[in-house]
Amino acid sequence: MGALYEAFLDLTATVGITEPVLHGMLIAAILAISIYLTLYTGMFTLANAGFMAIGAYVSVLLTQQLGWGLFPAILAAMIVAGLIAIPIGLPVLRLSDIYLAIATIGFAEIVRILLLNFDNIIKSIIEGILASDNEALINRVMTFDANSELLEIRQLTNSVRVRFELIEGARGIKNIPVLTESWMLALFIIILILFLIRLHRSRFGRAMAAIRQDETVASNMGINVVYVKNVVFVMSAMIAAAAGGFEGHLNRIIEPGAFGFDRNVDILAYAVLGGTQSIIGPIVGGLVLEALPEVLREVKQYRGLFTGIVLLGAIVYLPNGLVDPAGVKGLFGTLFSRGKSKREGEVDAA
Amino acid sequence: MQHKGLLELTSVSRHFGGLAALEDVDMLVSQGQIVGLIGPNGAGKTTTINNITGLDHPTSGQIYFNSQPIHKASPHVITNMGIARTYQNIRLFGDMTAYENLLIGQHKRGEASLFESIFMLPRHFSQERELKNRATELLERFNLADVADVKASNLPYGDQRRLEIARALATNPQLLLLDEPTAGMNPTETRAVGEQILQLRDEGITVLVIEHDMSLIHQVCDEVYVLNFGRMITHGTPDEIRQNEMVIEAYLGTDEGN
Repeated sequence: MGALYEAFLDLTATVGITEPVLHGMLIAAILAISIYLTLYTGMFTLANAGFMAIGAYVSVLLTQQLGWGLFPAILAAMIVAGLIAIPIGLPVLRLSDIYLAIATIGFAEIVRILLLNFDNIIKSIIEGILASDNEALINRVMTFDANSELLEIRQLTNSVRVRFELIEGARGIKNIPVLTESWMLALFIIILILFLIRLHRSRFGRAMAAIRQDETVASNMGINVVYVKNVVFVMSAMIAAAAGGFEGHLNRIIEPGAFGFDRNVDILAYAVLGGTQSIIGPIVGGLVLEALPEVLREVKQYRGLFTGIVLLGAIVYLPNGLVDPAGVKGLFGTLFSRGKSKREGEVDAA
Repeated sequence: MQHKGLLELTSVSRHFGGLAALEDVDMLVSQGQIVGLIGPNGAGKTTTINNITGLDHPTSGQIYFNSQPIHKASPHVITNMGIARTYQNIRLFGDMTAYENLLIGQHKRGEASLFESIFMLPRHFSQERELKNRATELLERFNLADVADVKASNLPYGDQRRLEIARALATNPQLLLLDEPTAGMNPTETRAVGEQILQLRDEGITVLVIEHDMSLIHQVCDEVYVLNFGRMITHGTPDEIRQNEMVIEAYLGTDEGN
């Protein structure tokens, strides 16, 4: 198995896909599945990078500070992200379309900014406690200092200096154990695909499709729209958190900047490029879009341009994404016999 | 408080800002009846149905179904209590086949949880078999068996209308609300829909039908309510309504008006 994998990597390396690139592609595929779930239910949410950040930070803290294994840490991170998704989803999922997108981007930004300033917030709280005259609380903070490397409280002549370093703000967490391996990512994707295939054949999956097509009618069919939307949002958050957990243990370092707005746009682009007609679409979109800059290494500084052209071309000529049999057929028809197939294409569109 | 009917509206009002879409509407639909609701465009017929099915809520007044208050309930709760509806403008799930539309209609009948479906436990399969049988039954009954696997948006107009009624029936309703079921149909098709409505009544389903076509009203209705500018102006048997001066003036128009 190992030899086979090595041979596979040798082969892909010739087009620029080395192991780190492959890891990035697989992470992208997981993120694409995460956004596919919400898009499939007709919810335009862009909170995925935020939940990814939560997943990365929670799992890294568990493995680095508490010595947990990777799997329990990621599972715990998924649960934390899922629990955070509930109070976010309940009010926010009442919005729709672009309003929902903006509200969820807001959430993702709040997560990022909290991570940037987390240490300072905790520091201010401790300083506040020390400045108060609550003896019991002060003693508790002092005993925490005694057996922790994270917290240091120094008594100066007429003030206290507090140092608290857990997440280290913009510098990010360093020296993370590298635990993620390719087979874990591949296995996780396979499990997700099996889960989604079963989901689509379930009553719940049909309700998701119904809500996407007509929310009002779905509610008249006896579907609890609020419940279905929130469950899907939680599932999407948990999958994004898992992607974050795996990514956190790839590169020895994580920083809040990696989970910003542009990450959200990337995740959305996976789904747009691949199409959301089927589960394969976003996965292909994620793999392709992540591989493209490396495959295009030869054109050096112009690769961003080429990636943009590919994305634009896909949106114009394959509006339902790369994985759309009817669309691909129509495109080839247009290329090879213009006049005749144009009429066919119109029938397809109708 | 005693409620005699299956569905009872007591002084229901619905105001949109300063506009009164419904004003003090009273209505009583008894078990096993076919009741018509007529009125000119903009009289508030669809608003009435939206309020009954929970898509909209009355500004004041109460709605009771089987003596249960439903004027504050959510749409899915009301559907699960036994009210189903169709729409004035057909609203099928266009990306799904006729068959899948009927599966959605049976959503609340399913018992298998998401967990059971994911792990392919026996209850998932027994449920799917049951839903499939019921869907097939409905497809045959409404002459849709040949088009079971056609996308709903590609069906001819008449099939779409029938599929909508079939989908509403899939929810197993006690009370069925039909919003202009014969809009755009010719007289023969209209009569066929009338036959189907009568058949539903024989099966014990109470029907409230909004209609412009007076021939259908005469064919099927036991009682007719007339709305005009949001007020219930009168009610009675179809023959009484036909002779009522107020109705003729409000709804059918006066001679001078022409």
